[in-house]
Amino acid sequence: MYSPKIVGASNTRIIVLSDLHNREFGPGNTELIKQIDILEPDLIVMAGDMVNADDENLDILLNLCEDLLGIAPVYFSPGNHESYLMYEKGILLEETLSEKGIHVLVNRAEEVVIGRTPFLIGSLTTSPEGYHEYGVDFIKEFEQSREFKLLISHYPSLYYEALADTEIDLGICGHYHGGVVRLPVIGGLYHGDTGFFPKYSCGMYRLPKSTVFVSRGMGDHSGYPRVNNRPELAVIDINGRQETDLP
Amino acid sequence: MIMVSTIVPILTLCLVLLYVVLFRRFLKIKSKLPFSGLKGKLGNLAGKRKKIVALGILFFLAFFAGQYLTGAWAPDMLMVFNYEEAARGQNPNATRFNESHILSEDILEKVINRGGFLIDAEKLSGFLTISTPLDEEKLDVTQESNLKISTGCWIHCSKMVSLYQTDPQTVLNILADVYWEEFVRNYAENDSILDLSFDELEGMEYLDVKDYLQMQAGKVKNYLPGYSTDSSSFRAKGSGETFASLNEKVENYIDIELERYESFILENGLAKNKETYQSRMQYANRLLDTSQKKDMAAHDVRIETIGLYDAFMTHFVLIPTYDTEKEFYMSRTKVGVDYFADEAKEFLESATKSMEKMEHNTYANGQIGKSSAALDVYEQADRKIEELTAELKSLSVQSRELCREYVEEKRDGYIQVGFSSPGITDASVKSLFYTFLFVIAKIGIAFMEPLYREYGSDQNKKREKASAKGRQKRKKGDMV
Repeated sequence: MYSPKIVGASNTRIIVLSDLHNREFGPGNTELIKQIDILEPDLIVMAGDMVNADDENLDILLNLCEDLLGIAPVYFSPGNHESYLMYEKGILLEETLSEKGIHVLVNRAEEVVIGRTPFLIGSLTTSPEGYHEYGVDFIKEFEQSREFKLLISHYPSLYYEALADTEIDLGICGHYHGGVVRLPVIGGLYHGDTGFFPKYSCGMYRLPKSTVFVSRGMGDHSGYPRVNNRPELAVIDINGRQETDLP
Repeated sequence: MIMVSTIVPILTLCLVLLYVVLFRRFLKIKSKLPFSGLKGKLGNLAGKRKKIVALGILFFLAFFAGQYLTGAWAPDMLMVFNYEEAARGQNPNATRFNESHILSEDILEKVINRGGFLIDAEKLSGFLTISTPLDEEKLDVTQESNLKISTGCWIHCSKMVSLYQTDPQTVLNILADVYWEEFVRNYAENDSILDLSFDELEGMEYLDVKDYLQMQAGKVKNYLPGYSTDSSSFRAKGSGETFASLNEKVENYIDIELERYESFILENGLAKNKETYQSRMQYANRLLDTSQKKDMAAHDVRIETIGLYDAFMTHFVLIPTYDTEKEFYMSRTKVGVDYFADEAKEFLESATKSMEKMEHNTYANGQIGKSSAALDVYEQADRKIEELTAELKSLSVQSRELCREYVEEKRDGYIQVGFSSPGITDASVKSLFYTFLFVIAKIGIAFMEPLYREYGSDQNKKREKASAKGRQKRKKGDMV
């Protein structure tokens, strides 16, 4: 994607992992790690639901994070499954990941310079229902930054109303699993939160003041088979190269 | 998707085979064709009409879908070079633009690494083709009016690249990213000339320091005008400097600061090594003296030659002509004496410069010879050098920042990339044309079917032969 905020000619590469749901690609996720290593990212973003709410064993996620830290800095935004483990079951997920060196962001932001470009990486973990209670103040402050604003939020539905007019350079979401069944031309078929044909189910969406990427995720927990909807290891390249529509 | 991309070639092949069958059948039964009752025979197709229409619609939909989806999956990429120098075939830094660099091995290697593709550069190169919009025009390169420079190029990636676990658009996207980076880095942000080095100042004579700093300041001064002519109003965010203000600062540095320093050194007759410097000056003056004498001799010869010129040979002619502003004026032709006069002037100027330098050296030599400057004066000179060096470094940093900000504002638009989208109208027209050919072939085959069964089919012929033999046998049997 194009951004005039990128300083210099360097490309900034972000890898997005989302909705892994404790799935493994190769023993110990070796295939996934190898693939990410080949892609040489500047930043790895986890957009939530990397674990399952009904499984308190975090080994898969912790091992994956350990290996990924050797490749690039990892930013983690909890999804609904992590929130359940953290707030309902009292599992110290945030602390455990932070000890390993993962940047766990819960309704807060951190500044980082990649290449010569300053980024403000934030995470909004609340659902749309809790936005006005937990998220609105954070977003107001976040929006004021002049740096490249990268917002990780698990729920794409936040962009339906709450963040629809917010100035965000790049929003990263997950949650909808691509709509489980992907229909040609039409897109995602269904998600429990939205019903049929979720508005943002997979890919890059240009909003009036922001760009949102919705990952179709890598795993599943509902048991519904993914049809025409392969697990996604998303790569986002950000640079100053402009793209125009041809007539 | 690669399977979808085979739909159009397969349907085209089917169409060709259909016409081969049609032509073959036509040749076999052409003598039996009832051209006179053609209208009536066509009426017999009524029963097959629905089938042909259904097949036609199916063919159209399949052809259209194949064409449209393939076009969307494997678009061509247009790379437009959107800066002033592009129209002159140059890069933004006025070096020559080379189109072949886009698909060079170096770039393709980077594309492969960035995409993590399981392919080597040579193979990837085979899948990529580059053309310019001018390639389609048949231009006669011998005519100057036909010499055009393309400021854009089309890049096509073969669908076969998908055999290597990627797709054409991803390859083209990464190619555009990598080339843009290389382009901006190599041709737009090359400010290495502003990397000023002051290492040689160590141990340098005081008067030489002035020349050295002047040379370094000249680098900064010469670098700035290239940008200042482009955008005189551009202002750096941090320092608020413009190209014009910075250029003025550098000029002041050269004309005022360095001149003051030189005056201070000459006034006090400072030198790190008096004897060496004085003997160097004497040697320099000897060389300058020789040079000045040579210049004066050359000047005198030309003046003498002008004096010998016959007045008749100095006549000139006025020619009506236009200047670069298309203004009419009378141009005076140059004659031999004019060239001699110009040369004499040049030699005299050169001799005068040599004389000036000699006088400067003589004065410096004298000042140094009679100097008895105290140590604190030398320390003062050293401090001045440090100040001048720091000031020049600061000017260099400011210039670099200003140029960087300016380039960053402009660089985003240097190369613009667009992907062709499959045109619904084009795809529809092409699909309709092929469907028309398909329907014609089907009608032809359906029309000839009964006649072919009757006269043309090999099996029918065999059957006819067999039945004829059977009839003959039966006849023979009857006879027996």
